[in-house]
Amino acid sequence: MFNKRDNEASDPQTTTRDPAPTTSTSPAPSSPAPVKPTSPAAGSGTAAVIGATVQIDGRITADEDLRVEGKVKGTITLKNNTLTIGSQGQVDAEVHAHTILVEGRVNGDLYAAERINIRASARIEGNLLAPRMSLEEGARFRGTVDMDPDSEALAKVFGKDAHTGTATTAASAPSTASRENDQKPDLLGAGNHKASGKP
Amino acid sequence: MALSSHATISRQPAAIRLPLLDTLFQSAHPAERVGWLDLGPVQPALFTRLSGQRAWLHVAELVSTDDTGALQDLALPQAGPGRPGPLHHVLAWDRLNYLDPAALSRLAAALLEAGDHSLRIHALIHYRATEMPRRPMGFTVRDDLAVLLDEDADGARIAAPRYSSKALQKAMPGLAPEHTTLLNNGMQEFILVPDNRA
Repeated sequence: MFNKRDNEASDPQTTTRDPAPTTSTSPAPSSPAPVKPTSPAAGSGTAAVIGATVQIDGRITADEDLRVEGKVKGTITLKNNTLTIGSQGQVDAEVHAHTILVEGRVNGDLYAAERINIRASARIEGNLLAPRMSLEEGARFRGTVDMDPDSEALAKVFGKDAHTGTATTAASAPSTASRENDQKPDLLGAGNHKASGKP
Repeated sequence: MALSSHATISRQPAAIRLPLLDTLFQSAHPAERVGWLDLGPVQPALFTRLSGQRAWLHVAELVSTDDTGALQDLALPQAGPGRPGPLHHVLAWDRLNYLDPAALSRLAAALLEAGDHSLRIHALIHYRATEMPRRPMGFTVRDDLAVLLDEDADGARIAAPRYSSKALQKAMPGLAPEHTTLLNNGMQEFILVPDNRA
């Protein structure tokens, strides 16, 4: 399902899988310290891939870059990393990521702490919130674009310094997925992904 | 492959200046929280222009519902991420030509409900010509604020309603023209505002 190549996906059914989590799943500390992105995978071109035949219905969280070529319904959270929705990708989800690149289809709201880039092949219905955005000629979009760097909605998702690239730690706002999936087997490779079948 | 006579004509989109549109863009201060609504399709230049500003933009892309060119009604999102504040500027392009008076009335009500006292609606009306393209034209704002107009390749045309200022005001209760300019291409450019400000 998740791997460094996009041709090994084998489960076309709705999928619920989880790796051995390496991010904190403890309750939120009372005063979470903002952290800068530290993942070596961020922007390095070595993103994990959800292959074209994979369908996920649930929550995904990760601390490395991710490319979606399959179908995802639910939520995707990569607060310190880049999400690429590839040309074959179909995302029906709310997405929180440091940077988002869209080449495929999206139905949902995209929140990026830093930037959203929309390629010509993209088809988007939903709302886009990021301090910076670019859109290539030919892309289709219907919805609302909010580029206010002081956006309350962005601050709520990423913390006060969202537009400077910092974000609250995963531990400061642990996802339901993190709590739910502690005991599940690692089927996702080396990355720090989590997926849950309970959106 | 057989080509129609229309398809053999190489057409370049015409670039025109829209002085009232210029004023609309220039009146929006980057530091102010300005709400924009575009009734046409999304265009990269507008993203670029608004990027880094405190603005938000809703792209509605009203499309035809049948072969008459009539457009669907505007369905604005409720307050929230889809509508984070009041509307200030509306880019109607040539869409008003494709709405009958009843649809114009519904549009006016929706805009007045979503806008505040500073609402300004920019529109282009086919005024001199008796016919207009069967479907709304494409409009592309260049970096210098000149606008490229692009018609459907099939060249099909329908009768233009040729709304006058008075006709628009009657069809869009609560709104009134603040400024109008007749353009060289025969279209009339309008800025409509709430009628207590006109």
